[in-house]
Amino acid sequence: MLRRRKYSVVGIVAALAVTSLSACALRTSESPNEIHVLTVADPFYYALQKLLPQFEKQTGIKVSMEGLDYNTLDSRSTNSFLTHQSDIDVISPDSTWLSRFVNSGWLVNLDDRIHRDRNEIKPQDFIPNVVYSGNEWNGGLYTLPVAAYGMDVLYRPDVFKALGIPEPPSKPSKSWTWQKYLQDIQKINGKTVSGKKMYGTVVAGAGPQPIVHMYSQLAASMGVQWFRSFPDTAAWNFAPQLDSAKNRAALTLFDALYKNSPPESVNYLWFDAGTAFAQGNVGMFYWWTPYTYLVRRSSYMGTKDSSVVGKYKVAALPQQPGVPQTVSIGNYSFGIGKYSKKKDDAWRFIKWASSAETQKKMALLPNHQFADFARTSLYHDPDLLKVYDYLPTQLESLQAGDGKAVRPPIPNYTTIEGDYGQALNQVLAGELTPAKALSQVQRKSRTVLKNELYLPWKQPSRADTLAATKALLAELSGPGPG
Amino acid sequence: MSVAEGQVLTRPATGRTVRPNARHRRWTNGPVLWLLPSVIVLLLISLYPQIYSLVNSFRFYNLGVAAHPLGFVGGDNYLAAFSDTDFLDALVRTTVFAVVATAVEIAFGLLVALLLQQRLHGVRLARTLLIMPTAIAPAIAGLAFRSMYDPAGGLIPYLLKKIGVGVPAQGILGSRSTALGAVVVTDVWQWTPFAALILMAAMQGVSAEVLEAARIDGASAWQVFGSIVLPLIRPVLITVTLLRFISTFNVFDIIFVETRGGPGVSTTVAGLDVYYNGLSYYNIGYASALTWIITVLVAIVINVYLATVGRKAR
Repeated sequence: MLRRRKYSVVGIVAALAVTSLSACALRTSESPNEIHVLTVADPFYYALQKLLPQFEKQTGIKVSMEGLDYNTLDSRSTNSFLTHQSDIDVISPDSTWLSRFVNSGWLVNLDDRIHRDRNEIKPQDFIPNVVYSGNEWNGGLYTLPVAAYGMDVLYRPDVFKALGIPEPPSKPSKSWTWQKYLQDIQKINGKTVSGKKMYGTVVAGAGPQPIVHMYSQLAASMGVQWFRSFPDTAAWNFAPQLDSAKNRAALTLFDALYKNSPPESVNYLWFDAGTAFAQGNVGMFYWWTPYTYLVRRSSYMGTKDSSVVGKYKVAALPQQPGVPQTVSIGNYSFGIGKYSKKKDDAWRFIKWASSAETQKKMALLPNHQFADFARTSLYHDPDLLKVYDYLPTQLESLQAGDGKAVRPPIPNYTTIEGDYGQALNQVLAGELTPAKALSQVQRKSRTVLKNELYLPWKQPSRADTLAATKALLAELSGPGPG
Repeated sequence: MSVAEGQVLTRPATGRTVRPNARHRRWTNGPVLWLLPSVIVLLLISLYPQIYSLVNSFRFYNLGVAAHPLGFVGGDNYLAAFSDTDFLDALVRTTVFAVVATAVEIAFGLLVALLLQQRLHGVRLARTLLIMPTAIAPAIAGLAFRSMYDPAGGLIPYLLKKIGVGVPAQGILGSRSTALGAVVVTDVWQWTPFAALILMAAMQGVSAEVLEAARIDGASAWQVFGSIVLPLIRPVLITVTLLRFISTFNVFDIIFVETRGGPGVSTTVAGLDVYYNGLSYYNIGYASALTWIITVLVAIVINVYLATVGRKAR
């Protein structure tokens, strides 16, 4: 019996020892100067990944970078911060999550670091609209951009020529309207060009995010507002404005665009729309600017050329007469996680990744699958213009951009986006009319905003403007102890 | 020397009597010590999160407002859930999905199990291959089927067109009339083998002598199956049905990957609703309430099922 008890004790001690050793091994398997970067698997991620050995060689800092899908990045980073984990040194929140991350105290304010290293960073080289849309909250900078997305139009000149339709302009023009855009795609839809039956356009119809990203651009161009006054007024008022005549007109137009698209695009996610265009049977579509180079490949970040290489051009976004153009801006930027134990190494990585030098190298990698610059200087770089000749149109798109107006980044944005996206998809699916859909969204968003203490707004407000961000960038670039 | 159960021994030196069973009952000598770590781990990883989510379901806990719970709100989250038509509709859709998918999987599983019982060429290989769909992640199965349903070159629309079956212009996953059925097909493809293998194992447990006796008495194959095999495997059948019902009622991965709940809301099931509320809108209090409503509903269904069908089986 004694022997049996002895074996029991030995067994338990052994089990505990193995467990402790495993834990120690897990802890020590990471090198002391290794940082963890959590980001989205967009094109910039693949380009950066290829250049990481250069950074590691220069600095001796090892980088473990994970590229996740959009939803996973959101939920994983949120869970990690909520449970106070130190596993995220660098994080790239989507621009619409920034306010939630900042208000929760999960990101480190970068203002002092930027000012200290201003000669290296050159803050005023960043396009202010990009920084305003995705990096600034509560008057401070919490991230630096590594990829900036605007919106533009891709079209097939050969198709326009074959059908006798004048090509759209590469520069913004008052005569290039959304009605004209619809008329052109209606002329293309169903016609056969070079043996291919064409669709006029293609939409990303899946809810909630893809359809909201695409639709909100059209709506913003037509003057649609989400809330009564946010973010550029001194007193914020979140009374929803989604059930408006302007929005009904915009949604009716969007539904008409869908009717000239492949019917299955009701379920299209991000790149599905790009793939449809890359297959060569779509005349024209508008989408995030990375698709301008992504459609050169037959699959997402693939190596095989698509059938539209050399056959498409970039045009400016259409406008609505009498409404100032507002372009959507999305960006991915790097910030330092609050619980990181390697904040200085994380900062060195952020500076490197967002620098003009690294961004240029990313763009000139052999596959040419990155041109999402947030720095003005890169849009005038002759080497880059040789590869990406459409950069002037892209720059113009970003300089007319206001991400905060097109998709207002309030902390509970995703809740309203969820209901909005579902209703928009229901319109395409034929379940709701535009009027009923918007009435439903208005009712739901009012309930959400009321339940979540946005209506009435009793917290402090501040006029969050592009001018204020420009002033902040100037201040951070200016003299003072550095 | 062996000691018979209950035998009383007298210790020579002291003269005190010792009952072997009493000695064995000391907790350090029994299995308790060995089970304790598992029990502790189980309590930590299973019970604690459940209690925590139950507590959260009574709180105002929304990351869109604050990174921490803002206090108790009584049954407000539950009241909101029962007046949320989206959630109630999703529950109905989930029930349809779960009942249809489970019924088809069990019916096909029985058929496949019967086939695997036959002495046919290639049965061994078929058994090996059969386990493969069950072994892959549901998300991967969803991705594979998404590609196979693709109206532009997908295998399934191609084959359907070849045999003269019309495919909606929006594609099978793009049409409200076919999308839910299409995701049921994916689930059935993946989980029918699971039902088949379990049922096959149960059938192998049926005594060959009993079957032989029935055949000698002149019972037809159908009678043997209906009157002998089916009653004998009934407890296993009930277990498999329950497992599949629970799993299909909690479906998420396949639908998230294939349709994200669309087109419209035609494939939005309760699991997806919980996901969006909890991990996209970060309304943790409300999502916890939804989770508990689903849990209680599933528990009620299981208990009703066991109280009726299960009792008959016993």
